Amino acid sequence: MNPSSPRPDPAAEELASLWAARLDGSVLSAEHRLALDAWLAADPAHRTLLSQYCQFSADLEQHLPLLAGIRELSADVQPSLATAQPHPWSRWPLMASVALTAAAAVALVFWLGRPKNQFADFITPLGRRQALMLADGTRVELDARSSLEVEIDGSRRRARLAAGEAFFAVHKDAARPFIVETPAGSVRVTGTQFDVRAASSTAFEVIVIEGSVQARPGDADGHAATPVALTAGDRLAARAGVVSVAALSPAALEHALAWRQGQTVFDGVPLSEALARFARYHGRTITATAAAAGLPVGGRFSLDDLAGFLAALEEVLPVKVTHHPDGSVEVDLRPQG
Amino acid sequence: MPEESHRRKFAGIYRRTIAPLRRYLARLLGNPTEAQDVAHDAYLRVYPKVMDESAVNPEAVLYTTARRLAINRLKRRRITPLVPAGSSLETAASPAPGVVQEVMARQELRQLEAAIVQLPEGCRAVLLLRKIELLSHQEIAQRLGITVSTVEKQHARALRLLRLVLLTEPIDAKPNQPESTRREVRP
Repeated sequence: MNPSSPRPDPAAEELASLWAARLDGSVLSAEHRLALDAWLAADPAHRTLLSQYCQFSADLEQHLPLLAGIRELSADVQPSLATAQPHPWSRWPLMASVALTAAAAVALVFWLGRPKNQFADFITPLGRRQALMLADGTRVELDARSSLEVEIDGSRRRARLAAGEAFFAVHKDAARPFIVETPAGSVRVTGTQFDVRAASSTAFEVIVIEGSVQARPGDADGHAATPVALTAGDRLAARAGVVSVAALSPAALEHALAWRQGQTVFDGVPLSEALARFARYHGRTITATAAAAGLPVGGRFSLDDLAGFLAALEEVLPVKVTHHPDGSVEVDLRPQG
Repeated sequence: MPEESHRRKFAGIYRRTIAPLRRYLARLLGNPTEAQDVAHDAYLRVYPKVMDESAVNPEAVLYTTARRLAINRLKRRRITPLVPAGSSLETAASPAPGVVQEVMARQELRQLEAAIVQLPEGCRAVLLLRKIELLSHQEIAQRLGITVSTVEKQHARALRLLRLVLLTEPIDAKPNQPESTRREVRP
C-alpha cells in the first residue's frame, strides 16, 4: 500500500484482476463475455491492465512450483495429503532460507551411492542456465529448458539430452567413450569439447569446438545410421533425415555458443527466428505477423533481458511490439505516417 | 537411503513416460515444441511428489498434471479473440516485462514466497489449489465448499495483493551479477 506510487484506480485493478482470474480458472458464460467486452471498450487502459494481470497469472503458474517452500504451504491446504509432517509450518524458516539456492539450481539431481558412479537427472527451468561437473570430470553447461540424464559407471559414460541444448567439455578417457544421445541422433567421443542441441524428435545439431567426435544422426539407439566424423569448427545439422555439415568461421563458432554467456547473436536471421529463440528461453508466446516475420535481425542480445530485446527491435526496425491480454507478445510492422 | 530409492523411482518413471507423454501432449497441443515444454514442466511438478511419497500413483499424477498444464495453455491461446480487434496496437502496448519474470531475474524469490505466506488464508488456499494443484475454479469451489464466484474473487484478490507487493517492495540494489548457478555434483 504505497499511495505515492502511480497506479490506476482501484476499481479498474479489481476488475482487471477478476477478469484475469476468470479467464484463467473459470468457463466464461455468454453473459460474462459481453460484460468483459463492454468493460474493455469502456477505457483503453483496461486492456493494458488486463494484459498485465493475465501475464502475471500465467507467470505464477509457471514459477510457483519452483519455490522451495511451496509444497509445505500446499500441504497445509490439503491436510489429507500431508504425509508424516505434523507441523508443516515448523519447517518454514528453513525452507525459506534455502529458497534461493534451490531456485538457482532446481536441477533434479540424484545419485547412486557408489563412488565414481553417477546416475543423475538435470532439468533446467525457464530463463536459467546451469553448469555441472559430472563424476568423471566432464563439464556440462545446460541451456534453459533442457533435460539431461547422465549415467556413468566403470565401463561407460552416457548422457541423454531429451530436450534443449548443452555444451560438453568431456574429460579424456579412451577406455570409456562418452556418448550423448538425443531423440534425433547421438554423438560419441573420448575427450573433447562440443555443443549438442536437441531441437525436436527429428532434428539435432552438433558443434565441435575442440578435438573430434562421431555423430550419428537418426535413431537414439544408433541403429540404421551412418556415423559422421566431425572435427573442430564443424557444425552438423540433421533435420528429418537430411544431414548437412559445414565448417564454421571462428566468429560464427563464437556466435553459436553465445548462449553459454546468456547471450544470443543474430546474424541477419528472419525476425520470426529471433523471436522464437527468446520465446523458448522465456517460455512465452512471442510471434511476428506475416508482414514482419522476414525482417532481418542482427546484433548481440542478452537472453535474460526480453524487454531490452523488444525495445531494441522497435528502435532499429520499423516494427511495433504489442503485449496481448493473454500474455503473448506480437511484433508487427509499424503503421506508416 | 529411502531418498535414493525415490530418486531411482523418479528416473524410472521419467524413462518409461517421456516418449509416450510427449506424443500425447503433441496430439493435444498440435505442436511438438510446446509438448516438450509442457512435459518438462510436468516432470518438475511431479518430482517432489515422488520424493515425499505424496502421490500414490505418480504416473497417473504426471499425466493429469501434464494434461491440465496443456489445457491451461490452450485456454490462454483462446483468450486473445475475446478482445475486440482494432484498437489493440496503441492501447495494448505495455513496456513492463512480466512482474514475475522481473522478480525471478533478480532472484528475489524470497520476496514472492514471503508475499504468499502473508496472503489471507482463503486467498492463499485458492491460489495454491489453482496454480500448484491446477484445479479449476469449479473444482476448488467443491473442495472448499464455497461458491465459484467466491473462488474467483479470492483468486483475483491473491493476484492483486501479490502484484502489489512485488511492484512496490523495494528491491535490493544488488549489482546485476551473472547467474552463478555453478554447482559441484561430485559424490
